[in-house]
Amino acid sequence: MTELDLDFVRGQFPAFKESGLKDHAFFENAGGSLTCRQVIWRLHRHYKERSVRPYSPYSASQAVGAEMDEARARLARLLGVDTDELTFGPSTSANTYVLAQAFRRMLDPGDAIIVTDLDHEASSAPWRRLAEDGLEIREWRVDPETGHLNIDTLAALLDKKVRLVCFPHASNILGEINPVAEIATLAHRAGAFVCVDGVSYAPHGLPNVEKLGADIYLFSTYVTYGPHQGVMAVRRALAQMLPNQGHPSAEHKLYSRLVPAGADAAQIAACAGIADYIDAIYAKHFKAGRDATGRAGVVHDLMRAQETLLVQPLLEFLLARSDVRVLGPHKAAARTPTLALELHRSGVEVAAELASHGVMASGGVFGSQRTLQAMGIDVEKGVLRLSLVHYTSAGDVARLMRALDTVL
Amino acid sequence: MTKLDLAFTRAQFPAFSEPTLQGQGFFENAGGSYPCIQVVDRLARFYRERKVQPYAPYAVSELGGAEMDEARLRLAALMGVETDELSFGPSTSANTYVLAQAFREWLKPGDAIIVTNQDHEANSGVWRRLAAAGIEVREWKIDPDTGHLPLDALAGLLEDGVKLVCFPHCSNVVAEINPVAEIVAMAHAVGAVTCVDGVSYAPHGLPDVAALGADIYLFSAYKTYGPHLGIMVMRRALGEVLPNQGHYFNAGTLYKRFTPAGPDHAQIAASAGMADYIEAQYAQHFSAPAPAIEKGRAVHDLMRAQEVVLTQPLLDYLGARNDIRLLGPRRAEDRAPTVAIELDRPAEPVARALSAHGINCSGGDFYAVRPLQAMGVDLDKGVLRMSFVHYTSKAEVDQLITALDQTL
Repeated sequence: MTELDLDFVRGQFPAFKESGLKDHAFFENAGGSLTCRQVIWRLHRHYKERSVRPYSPYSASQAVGAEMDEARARLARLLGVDTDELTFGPSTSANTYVLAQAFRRMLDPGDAIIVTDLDHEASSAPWRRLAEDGLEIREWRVDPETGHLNIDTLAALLDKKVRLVCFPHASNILGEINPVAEIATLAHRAGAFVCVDGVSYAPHGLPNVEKLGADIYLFSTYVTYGPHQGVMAVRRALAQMLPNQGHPSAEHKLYSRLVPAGADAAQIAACAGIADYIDAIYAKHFKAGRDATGRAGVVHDLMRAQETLLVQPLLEFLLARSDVRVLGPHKAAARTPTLALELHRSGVEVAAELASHGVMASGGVFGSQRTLQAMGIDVEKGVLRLSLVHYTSAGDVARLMRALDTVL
Repeated sequence: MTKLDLAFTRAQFPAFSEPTLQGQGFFENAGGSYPCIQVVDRLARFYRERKVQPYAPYAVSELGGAEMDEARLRLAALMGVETDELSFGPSTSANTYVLAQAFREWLKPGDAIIVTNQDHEANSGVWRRLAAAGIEVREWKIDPDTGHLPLDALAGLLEDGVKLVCFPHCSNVVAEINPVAEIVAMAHAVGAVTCVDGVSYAPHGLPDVAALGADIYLFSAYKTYGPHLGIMVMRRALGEVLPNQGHYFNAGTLYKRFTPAGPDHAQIAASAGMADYIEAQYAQHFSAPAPAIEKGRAVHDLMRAQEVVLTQPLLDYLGARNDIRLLGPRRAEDRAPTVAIELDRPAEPVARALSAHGINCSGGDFYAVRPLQAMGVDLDKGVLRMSFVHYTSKAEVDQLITALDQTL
């Protein structure tokens, strides 16, 4: 099987050459990845050469508009959705906030929404707040030992009052990859839509949204090698049904209906660089012709294979220690390489000590108070989070293990 | 009186040395200004060197966090407000959308708000939708001939029950500078708060928000030489009583209460470049050391004086033609240099024709559907809008006048 060419990959990230970063090992990818050179180049070009309003009748403006269209079209194809089913908003939190307002106006009092206690607060709070508007909020709870979301528990919560199920593709601290397609099928059978928070999954390989069967799939580009935008794939049937939250002129423009925020032309255009990056990896490793969805699929598998290889030894190292509780699955293949550890002392404190060993990581609750509380973890103490992606090297991991050995 | 050093000013904007923009007179500043070099450099530096989650305990992360704090602190000081009264949201439209939700939760059915038909849709549509929540929405109407908002008409609307008055500092098509302090005093006298849309004003000089008395003052950084963000000043007294729209655990931090979107770290940090630019202008033109608020005021006056000199000949030229209708005031002092004209034909093809003469502007409704309708402008025709700022040269205005002469 083809293995990821790590030198090539790291060559795509200017940060690895920066003095403040090159002597460090970066383990806070879940809080924002490094940015690939294709995105930086496009963003900088925009600000230097064409920082003007798009879609006006002069050439600089038309170049901007064309680049924004290109970003939408190419990312949509990589995700397996239609171009106008892909929306750029300011961030996933902003997108979720707006979606909740749209559902508030579409649903009737007495309708129910299922949320989980595995979600990041930003993906959960806007839905929970709809209780004030007469909607019933049901909570799909994790197993307090493992943090696992049990499908049988969901089945018991679903009835014909449920109109929407919101859940994460993977949690931002537990890392377990949820069976999205299975959950979507179950929800659809009960007549509910599904809204999937993919923020913690997409950096590990863009998903095929069509195959997952999600009605809404959300992720953040700044965690996925790009600029700061929230990408929202909303399938046509639902997008047409939700009341317009944009300007009245957005009524018939699927990709504008759910974005009251003005478009950030520079960053939307720079998102085309994410597609450049995926295609560059593809071209480096494969020869066969494939369509965009096919290319995204094999690049996804290539990234995941590399991550799995890298994180298994780290998991084993941590599991062998009696002073550490590793949250989430113990098998690398069942999870993203985002590891949260409960320690005998504060995660923030340990992260600060790791910094002096050249390891960049972070401690705290990461917006996942509910999950930590459900698992009986003191939120004051928090957890230490170590998050990798495909560009992390075995050398970085070895350095992390040495640093942990010293600090813990 | 000190005059603006135009060569110095233009040297601060990379776009003026960009080969593909040479010879192009840029008259679409109201749709987004050129970004200053200080912002471009900071943004590029952030993406190359500091693109990690800020406020984590390692060096590059601390630098990123410190730069974000610096941006908030310095911009707040330039506008005469406390550091935590300034927040960065994704855009002004996104900010008003969130504010409207907060007011929806705060106001009671039967309470009244006042909106105008002079506003850009961003400071109008979201407020008008509150009618669906039982709030009475009163419209302060412009004079259909002049587009002027008469104060005596407001006085007639400010009766019992009015809790909020939303109006623009200056409209994006009428461009008349409204007497904000006077309007605010009238609103406060009946116990109402005010939300001022400063998007079309701030590029012409940052306002002293404390002196204006506005409870909320909004503007867009990307139209004010900065990155794509919406800057929101929320005065403490109001910010503490309006229901929190952010994470529950951030409710105690004023600048996080109305920004449910995740912060765009890179762009927030780059906003410090807007303060750099104003400081650089001050240093170039004045020698006396002064507090930030006085520097802000001095640079504001310098920019405005330059614009007024530049705008009057264009207004005189347009006012003398009988085949066009010039919207808004004829005196440059009374308005921003955002000049919209109604033609005897659709505006968009005229903009296209102007681009052949190296004039970059555009035609349409500019999301100012309400004021245009109120003034009897045919929306299918729209208006031609020519907008400039202090960095525009006299030669460019002459180029515009010549091009208009040949095109109209």
